[in-house]
Amino acid sequence: MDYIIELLNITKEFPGIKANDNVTLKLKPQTIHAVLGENGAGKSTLMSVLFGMYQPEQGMIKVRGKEVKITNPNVANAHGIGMVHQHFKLVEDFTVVENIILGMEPKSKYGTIDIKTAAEKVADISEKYGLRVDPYAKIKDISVGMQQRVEILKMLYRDAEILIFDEPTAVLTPQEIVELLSIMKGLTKKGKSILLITHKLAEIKQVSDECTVLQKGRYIGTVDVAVTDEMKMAEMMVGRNVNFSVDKTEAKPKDVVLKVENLNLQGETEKPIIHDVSFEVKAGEIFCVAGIEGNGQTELVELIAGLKKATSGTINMLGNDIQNLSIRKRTEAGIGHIPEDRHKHGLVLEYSVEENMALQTYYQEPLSKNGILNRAEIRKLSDTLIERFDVRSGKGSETVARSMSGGNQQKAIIAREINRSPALLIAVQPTRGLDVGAIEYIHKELISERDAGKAVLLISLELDEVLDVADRIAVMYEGEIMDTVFSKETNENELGLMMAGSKKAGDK
Amino acid sequence: MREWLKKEKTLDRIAPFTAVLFGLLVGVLLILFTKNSPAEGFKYLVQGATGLKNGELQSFEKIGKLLLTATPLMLAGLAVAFSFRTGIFNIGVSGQMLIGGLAATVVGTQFEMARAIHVPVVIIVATIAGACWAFVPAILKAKYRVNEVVTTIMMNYVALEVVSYTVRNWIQSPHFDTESMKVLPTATLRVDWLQNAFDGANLNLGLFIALIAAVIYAFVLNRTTFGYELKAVGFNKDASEYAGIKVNTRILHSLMISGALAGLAGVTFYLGNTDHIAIGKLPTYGFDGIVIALLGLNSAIGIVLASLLLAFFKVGAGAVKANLVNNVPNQLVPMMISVIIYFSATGALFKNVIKKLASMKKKGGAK
Repeated sequence: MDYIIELLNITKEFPGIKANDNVTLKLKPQTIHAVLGENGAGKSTLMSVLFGMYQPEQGMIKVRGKEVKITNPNVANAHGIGMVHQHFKLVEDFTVVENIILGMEPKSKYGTIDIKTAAEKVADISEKYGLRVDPYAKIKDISVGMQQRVEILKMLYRDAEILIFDEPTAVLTPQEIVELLSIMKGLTKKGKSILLITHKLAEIKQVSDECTVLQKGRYIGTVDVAVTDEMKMAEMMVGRNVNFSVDKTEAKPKDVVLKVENLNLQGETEKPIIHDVSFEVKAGEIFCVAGIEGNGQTELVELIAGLKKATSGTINMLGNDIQNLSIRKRTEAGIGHIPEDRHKHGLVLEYSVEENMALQTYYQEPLSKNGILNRAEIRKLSDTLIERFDVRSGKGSETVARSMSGGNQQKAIIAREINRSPALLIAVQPTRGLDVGAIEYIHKELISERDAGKAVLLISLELDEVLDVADRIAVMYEGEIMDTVFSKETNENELGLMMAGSKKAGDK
Repeated sequence: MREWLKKEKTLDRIAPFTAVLFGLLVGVLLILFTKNSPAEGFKYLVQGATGLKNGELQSFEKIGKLLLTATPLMLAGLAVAFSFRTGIFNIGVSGQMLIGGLAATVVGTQFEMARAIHVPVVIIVATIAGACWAFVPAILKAKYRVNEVVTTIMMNYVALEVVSYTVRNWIQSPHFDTESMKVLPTATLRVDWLQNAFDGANLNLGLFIALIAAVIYAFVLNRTTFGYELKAVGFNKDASEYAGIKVNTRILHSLMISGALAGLAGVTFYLGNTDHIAIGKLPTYGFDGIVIALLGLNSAIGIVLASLLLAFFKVGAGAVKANLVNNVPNQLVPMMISVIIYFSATGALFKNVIKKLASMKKKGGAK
């Protein structure tokens, strides 16, 4: 058996777009095969075809050398194909083992659920593959990384031979990523075959054996990862040379735009969510708040944007206290906001692109007058922004936001926020889940905002991004700022230590 | 054609028609079951609802009656749909309609005014009363997150008692214990020229109120910043809040405007369709309104059409029953309506079925 999975000449069309155009992918047994491509390149579509969620117009699928028709995910499961989705499908209030057996609960002879046997089996599998998951822990009590392992366990419990990982590292911390990659290696050693969907080149380089590159739905090629460098793969993916290092000149900070002093936020527990946080963001600099997810960064932004009220402390914008201003007044005072969760907070997904482009300014002239919308002006604004920020979609301004790819949704939000030329641009994990091309683009936009004399507050979990893009970095840990450093005077190690809770080396 | 069938928008629009089709189909089966001829049954249905007999219009009276029945339905449908658009489920349209009608009846019986003033006054009073009745659940929802489904339903029963108390103590009819006195001729929405034009049907100014309301409804939701905000809140509260929209205030507005539309339904019904208000009768219009909003896909044109359709069934029902040879149960038409409701509520099912059919055909064609 040369290949365990063969996707041969797959073509899948959607109205107006060829999502997969004659794509071929062959997975050798016991290897990790990466599927690389920008957002909208057709990676997810291809995997959905393999997983039985879409039927291709042309092409055939072979599993273990035999041609098969995969009409729905259950058929895929029966062929031993399992998928670890990017967004976990777990019941929060259930334990690990309850989640794993969901849908195929083992029965005891009295007809009740036999949790104990299942838990033992889960523990065995967990042991075998080095997953170290407690079968009786509740999902809501374990970390995101652990939850992902539960998803993996779910597949292994169902005897999946071929595992599809859809952007598995998007939600993980750097340490968790390292662990996941070694788990994946371990899985192949023990006989599993893996398809890894990603756009992170470093990860491909670390774990993959082969890599298939897609570009705008077309098949570009399959390469042997060991002998191909990252630059080459990036080029194949984007179709042009990619600049990895972020080009930027020395920051020329000017006046203070945002000044936060002794900010506190008390949650329901005794421990404060934000404790005595002070910092300044100046015009012409990118100030980054780094830290592992859940250390108070989200709340900090909510306090500045006006979504939450602080327990104590002051927030000054251009010399004025903005604590008592409404969200809209703060927006008008010059805050632009690229939120963390673009689906929940950034866009009204049911609205069209143009309606979303108007979301912050619809009530102002020229988009409306006396409360009556001027559809022509909204269309004009939207068309201009789509052009300038290269937002790609099926039907331009009329496209429903939901139907766009993640990268283009993010571009639309960035277009909307930057277009208002706010004095302070808050960007919360602006590149989360995006591909190299889009990340490069977003970094460029942030830097050009800086160079235009705007203050940029960046919240990021990715150390590379923090070091490359930011001018000054504050590290948050458990609601406190550990220290503030200049990016050119620090390195990954120092930041990593601070993110884990130790003060700057010099303070010891 | 197949591509056209696969589009989401087309599918959304087809769903109500399939629902109606199924309703009619069930009607056919039921009539067959009673050993009557379905063709006869539908002939009488059309005849009863429109006055068309052998292709000739007998009189305008039936059409007038059809439009008369459709009027409060239209307004109730608009009321429900308006709240739907902001993500609110107003089940209290019946109660708001009662209170609107009651307030208008009080003003229409107790105060003497010139006709040119009296009519606008009762209309405005009913609108305000309906909005105020919706204010209670609205403020509870906006401020304290109390589920509006529960509160609006309860307010229906409170409204019923308020009507009962007011009628008995203030405006009781001298002839009937359970009815209010008749509204003064200066306050009624009925106008002679309309009644003459439609051969005596009680058709009244309410129809114009409803049609104007439909136009304003479409305008507000599609063309104004206010409507833009309401829809944004309905789709995604979090993103709306991020964009600085006052979400709670908009929820309050939406439910009160819904109540105001219900109040209008009240004045057209109690001062137009009838001329008094009765104790202990919760109008079914609030619930019919939900059907109409669903069937009309919350769009103004859809709601106007759906209310005409529902009125068509309601008005035509009697003729079917009276004319068929073998006895037909009274429930025939209500059952057809129920089937339509059922299938319009399960519209998603149809969408998927049609989608599948469309793509299946395509596959067959390719081979």
